[in-house]
Amino acid sequence: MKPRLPLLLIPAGFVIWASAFTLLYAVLSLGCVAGWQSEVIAGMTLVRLVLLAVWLVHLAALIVLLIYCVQLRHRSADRTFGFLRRAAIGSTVAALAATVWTGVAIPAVTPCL
Amino acid sequence: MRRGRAGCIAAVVTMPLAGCSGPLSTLDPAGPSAAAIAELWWAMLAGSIALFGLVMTLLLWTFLRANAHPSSPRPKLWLAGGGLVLPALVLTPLLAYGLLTGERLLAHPRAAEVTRIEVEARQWQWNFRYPAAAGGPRMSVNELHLPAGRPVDLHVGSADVIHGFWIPRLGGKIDAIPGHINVIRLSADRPGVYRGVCAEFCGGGHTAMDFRVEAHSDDSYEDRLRELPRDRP
Repeated sequence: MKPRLPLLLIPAGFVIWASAFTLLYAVLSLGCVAGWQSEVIAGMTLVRLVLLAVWLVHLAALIVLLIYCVQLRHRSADRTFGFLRRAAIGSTVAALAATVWTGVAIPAVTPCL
Repeated sequence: MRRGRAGCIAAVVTMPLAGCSGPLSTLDPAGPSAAAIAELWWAMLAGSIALFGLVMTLLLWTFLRANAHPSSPRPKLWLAGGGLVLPALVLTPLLAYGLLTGERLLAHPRAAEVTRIEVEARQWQWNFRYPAAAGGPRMSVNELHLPAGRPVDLHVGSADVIHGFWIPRLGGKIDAIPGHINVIRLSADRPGVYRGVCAEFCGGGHTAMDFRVEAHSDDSYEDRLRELPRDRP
């Protein structure tokens, strides 16, 4: 296998993190303007519910990406491929940690008044 | 010549200290919101010094160790330790502290005894309206009157472009956005005179768009409002 795929996988995790960050920001701003904090579903405001959903979907995508990167191990014995695969795993783990950080306060803090 | 150079160095070194006091200093708080923000600032300064010190110590140690043992240290250890573990140890408590402080500063509707004042920014002046004044709403221009020792919710809007409402000694700033009302809660610990400014570039008159803030004791606050011009209900 050519090393093209793991080369693309190196930035993939942070592309997902950027998507999470942008969407959380947008949902927070637009949801507050739309009055989603007044609608309660299952004991939780709609704005918090949507924020949690956006966050969890991105976390799930990052976990799937990480599993995929780890499973690339058996497909090639090429050294360049091996290095790129390790770099992809490292950057995906960092992106996962950053995404956890980005949304960890969603359940606790007041989104809007 | 030498004395002149020493004077210049002393002036440059001590110049940043000029921001520690004065009417627009965030490090000289005069209310609980401003005090909480100032405490957070000091905590962040301490955190950044700790992080900088730790990284510099590690860097120095690496150089000294490299001289003693020419074999290179393990790069993974440095990447993980200096790049992830140290920042996480310092920044995680700061994040938690910042979030808790932010939560305390919010204008939660459940609080009792809050005075409401409406603020309208326009190029280049501040209009203040006191809807709950005894005898009907009153108004003032470029002069904000507050009751000392009581929380005040300022409902801030704009008539034209985006402005920034900011009273540094009383607490955080908030954007004044056309077509939208933002609410900021602050209070002054004691009677006194403070200064407020526009904190967002809003056009040619931006630098002159400041206002006077006067915090009154409970009795004199109502008396002062009665002296202000009436506004439509």
